[in-house]
Amino acid sequence: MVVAAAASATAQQPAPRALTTPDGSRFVLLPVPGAPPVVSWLIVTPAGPAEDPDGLEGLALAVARASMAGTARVGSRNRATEEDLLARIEENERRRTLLRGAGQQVPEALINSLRSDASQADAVADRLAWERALRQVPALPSRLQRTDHTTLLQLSAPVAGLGRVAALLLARREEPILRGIHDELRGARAELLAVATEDPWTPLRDEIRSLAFGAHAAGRPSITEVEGFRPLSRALALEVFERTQRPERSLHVLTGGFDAEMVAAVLVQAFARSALSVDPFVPSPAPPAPRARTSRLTGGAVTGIAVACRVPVDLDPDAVMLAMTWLAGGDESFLSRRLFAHGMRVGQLRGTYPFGGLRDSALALVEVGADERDTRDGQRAERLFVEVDAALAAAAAEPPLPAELATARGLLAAQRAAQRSTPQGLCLYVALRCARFGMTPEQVLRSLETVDDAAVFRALQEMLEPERRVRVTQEKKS
Amino acid sequence: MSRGRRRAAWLLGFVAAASCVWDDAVVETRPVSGERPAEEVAADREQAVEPFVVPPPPAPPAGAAETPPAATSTGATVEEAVPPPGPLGDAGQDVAVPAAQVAMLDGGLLVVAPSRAPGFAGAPGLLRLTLPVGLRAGKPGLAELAAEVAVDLKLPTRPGGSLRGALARIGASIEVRVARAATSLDVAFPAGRYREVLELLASYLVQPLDPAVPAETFDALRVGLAARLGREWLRAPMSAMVDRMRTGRTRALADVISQISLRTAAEVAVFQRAHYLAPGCVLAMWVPGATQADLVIGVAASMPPWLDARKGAGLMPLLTPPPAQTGVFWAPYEGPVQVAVFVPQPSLDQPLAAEMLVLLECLTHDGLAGRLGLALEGLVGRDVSFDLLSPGETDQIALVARADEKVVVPLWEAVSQVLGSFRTRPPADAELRDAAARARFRLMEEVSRPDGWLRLVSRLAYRRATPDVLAKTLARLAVPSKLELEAAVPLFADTPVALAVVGGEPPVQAPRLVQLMTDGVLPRARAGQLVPPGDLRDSRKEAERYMATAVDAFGGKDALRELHGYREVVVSDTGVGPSVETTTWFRDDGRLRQEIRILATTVTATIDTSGGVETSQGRREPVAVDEARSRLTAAARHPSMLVARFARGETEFRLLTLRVVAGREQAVLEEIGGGPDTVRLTLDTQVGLVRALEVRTWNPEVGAIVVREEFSDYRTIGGLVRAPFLRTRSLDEGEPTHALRTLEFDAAAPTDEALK
Repeated sequence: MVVAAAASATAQQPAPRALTTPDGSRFVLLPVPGAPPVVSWLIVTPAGPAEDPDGLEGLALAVARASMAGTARVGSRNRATEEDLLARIEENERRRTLLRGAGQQVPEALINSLRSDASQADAVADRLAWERALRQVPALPSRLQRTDHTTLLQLSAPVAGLGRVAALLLARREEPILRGIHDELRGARAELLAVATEDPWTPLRDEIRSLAFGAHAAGRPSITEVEGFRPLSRALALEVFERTQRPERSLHVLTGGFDAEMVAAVLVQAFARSALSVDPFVPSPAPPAPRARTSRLTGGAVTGIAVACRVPVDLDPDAVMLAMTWLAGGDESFLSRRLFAHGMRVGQLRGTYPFGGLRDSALALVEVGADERDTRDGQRAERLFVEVDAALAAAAAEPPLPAELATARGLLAAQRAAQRSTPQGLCLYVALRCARFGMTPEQVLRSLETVDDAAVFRALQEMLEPERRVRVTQEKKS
Repeated sequence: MSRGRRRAAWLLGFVAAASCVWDDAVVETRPVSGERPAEEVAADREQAVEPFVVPPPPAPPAGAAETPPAATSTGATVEEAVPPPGPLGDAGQDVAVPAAQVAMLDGGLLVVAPSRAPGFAGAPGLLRLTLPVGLRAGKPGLAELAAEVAVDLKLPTRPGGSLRGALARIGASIEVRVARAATSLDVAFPAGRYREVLELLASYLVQPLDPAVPAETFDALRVGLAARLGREWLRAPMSAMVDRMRTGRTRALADVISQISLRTAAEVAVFQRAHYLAPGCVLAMWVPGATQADLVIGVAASMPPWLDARKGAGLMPLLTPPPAQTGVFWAPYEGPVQVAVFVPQPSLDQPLAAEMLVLLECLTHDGLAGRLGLALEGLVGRDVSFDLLSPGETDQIALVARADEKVVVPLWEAVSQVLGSFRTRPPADAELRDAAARARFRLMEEVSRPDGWLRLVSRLAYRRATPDVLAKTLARLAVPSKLELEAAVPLFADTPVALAVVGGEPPVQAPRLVQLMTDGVLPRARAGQLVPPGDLRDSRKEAERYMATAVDAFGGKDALRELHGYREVVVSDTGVGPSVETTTWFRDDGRLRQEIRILATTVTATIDTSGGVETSQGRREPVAVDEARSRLTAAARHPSMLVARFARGETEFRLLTLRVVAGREQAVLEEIGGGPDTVRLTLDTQVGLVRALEVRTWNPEVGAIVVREEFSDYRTIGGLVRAPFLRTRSLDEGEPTHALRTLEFDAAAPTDEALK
């Protein structure tokens, strides 16, 4: 039977529901009454430099990807043989990495042995088993995506199949075998390397991270080689998997035409315990306190400057985002207008927040590139530096005009409307904000009109304090 | 054509690009497996991210048609290994589908909306305005450029600069797509501001482009569009290929870009005036909290004067999908080989829609197994998964996978066999139940998304379908035993499919099967087959006009018709080493003699199409057939000979583009059907002389080779034919490496004696 839903939908919408299941997993449920019984499910888990061991950057992403190729129980045609082969691969990969690190030629026999073992390991595995089981729910194909600092696993399934999906997700989390982890690591690193190589602003961003976070893992520069210098053991990979995928570090967001109470009951039953969280989670040490630092680079592909400000933890993220939009969001932004008024030709203006990946030490980053058409040689970066520095001081001195803030609100609201226009986009939007800032779903979904102008000005004043700023200039060689 | 939702639109401001973004907030995925992200990261720092595709391991091919349960180490099935927890009720026989309600306004605009749209608190509203004009309308590139202008052309006299800018001021974002037969504008906005959105849309649509727009403003937009199309190909060739195939753009991308660069502001203005009219458009809206009646009133109140009732309701155009292309389309490319199988997406208004959807699921099984996947597994000997790309604005789904180029032709043959298998082996009960459940869920998932719902109802409106077909199809899929598969199978088995390949090289033994798709640096195009006949006709005509000038400039038709060969003495200098003097006797019946003198050494070559011999200092060496043909072809490409061949009607050209170089207009013409290489002439349109000749050759061993010669110092020979006496030659678009000076040129075919 199919019935039209129009009459059943009401303007009165239920509030989002947040819950923590017995194993420590955090959930946000966003029911949409009147919508078809389809659930969009997104799981965000941490990844990125802060989670990666030295010399194995990209590993947190790689383990998440490797976990999609089936579990220890689901996806092995011969467990004992597969384990033997994986152990041989690990040992040969270790030798290969050590030889490469020592600058020695990797023997052909070793390479052939790796190929042969990998081929045999593939033959005794059924890497598509987990995905196949998911589709029998029936669910749409899963998608594992990434941001700079997270991995995102996204699914769509019928509400009636939610329990089955939960069981499969649990199997993936609790029984990792990490098939093909070495290849996944190479793939992840190749991807990160390509992104870093293609972005001409990478040197400035690396320097900003280094100045802001020092020797902390978040301060590491972008990788420059696909092959890491450190051998990867499966034990270490599993350790990183456990650290990043453990229940209390993941956030699940579900939306669709379901009853929140009913779904909550299923989730509480399914996510009851985890072997990953037997030991308490020990967070990474915080990076050093912010202090003003400046660096000047020469060479590179662009002439420009990057200024990053450590954002105080107690500031409202929406107020900071509005402040950044007003400051550097488009050609009607404060910086754009001010630099133009001062005769500066600007090629690129970009504001980024949060930058740096750490929840309590996020940066707000402003990047200003010189106009490539400006052929005046010499001190373009230095002139930008002086002008932008003065502009940031001016931005913190006077409150923004209400009309200017209204424009910024419009721009930001437009971005958000687009992001939230699909169930998948909504999950992503809510998940990332809840995960990054510890915001409640209600806070995440509130209107920008509730953020008053005074809060925006306060955000500008606090984050633009000179002692919070790190600055990098780069003058391109002519 | 589609664009990122928040692409920076500051092309014309003093800031080249400006944005404010969340560092890691929004994630886009690659559209097809194995490709680099398509979106420009710098635009808004949306980190492009790869969806995970499980690498296919080697495994014995499965023979069964039904998806086998996944094996575990203990021999148990996945169901046993992972028992499902907790009940959540039945699969839900009562499916709530937002029912579409339709209203036709006096101005001929069809408004479709759910009686009340569901949405979470604070959910944005969405609308889709579909204009029944697409890529097939007007001159090539015009529809895309007109859409770009409508949304992004920035003028200081307009509030917000552009439609995008004006919408952003009220918290709305816009995305534009141009498909084969329709242009759609998708707007997301704060639900309470739908009237302002409608007012803005109407105010921009009612006002077509002013042809007097500043040239630099229009050019910036035009160049931006062309550059984006080029970037899309470079960054994600398979995605671009899928887009091209589904929009029917089989012409070379370089040609598309060239056509866009030829379009003028006046053409765009005329196009918009003719096509951007309310009658015949469909406005589908999804605004949580608003009823359909509210929305209809809002449209009627907010959209005049675009809704001009005086123009009458007009007829709603019937947008039927054009016949699907079939065959194998191959774009050689340096990179991993990817294959896309295109299958038509059943339309919900066709009589056996539910059955066709089920059979499609049996075929594809969401890209994992299914009859097609099993066939491919049989070919490659291991499990294979496809990325399934939903049809979006088009009528075809695409299944994309990495594959070895050797399996392409067998796969193409296997696809026909798989489709035929439905006649001999209709889906068994388990396969049918599984496919019906999947088809039902896939449809339900689409209508559960506001954007999916809007897309479906807009398409149904243009197909004259009643909105309840959605609910009816879902209901039929819920009872697979009542599906009329016997009636649907013959239709489905005749489904026209196509295969597209990016990467690798097509097998030499299948030249008739494979159509080459070329782009940019890629090898030659078989222009006659790849360019739509209408467009080809136009560009041929234009080329003929320019070539007629060339015929006059090179000595006139009568003289050129008699030109069947020549003798030329050329000194070649590279600046390094000794000069080389070459005397060439060439006759266009395929005979050539060359004497090459370097210092005291002379090499004489006597060549015809079957090979030849080189003689030097008493030694004789055979010339291979390939080498002989290559030298004959090069000799035949003397500018005078090319123009002579055209004068005799032995070859044809088409116009690619017009350029202005150093204040003089030049036409770039491409030879049609002139052989395996791509030959382009650059012609001075004022004097009709050939200024450059570019030959692109594809060599399987070394890739593309581009030889460019530039000509000058034209002299008249014997009062009849003109020929260049100076030329420079460059390789692979580098600096000129050879300077060639003609000492003598006889415009007459050499005798048999001279050719010995």
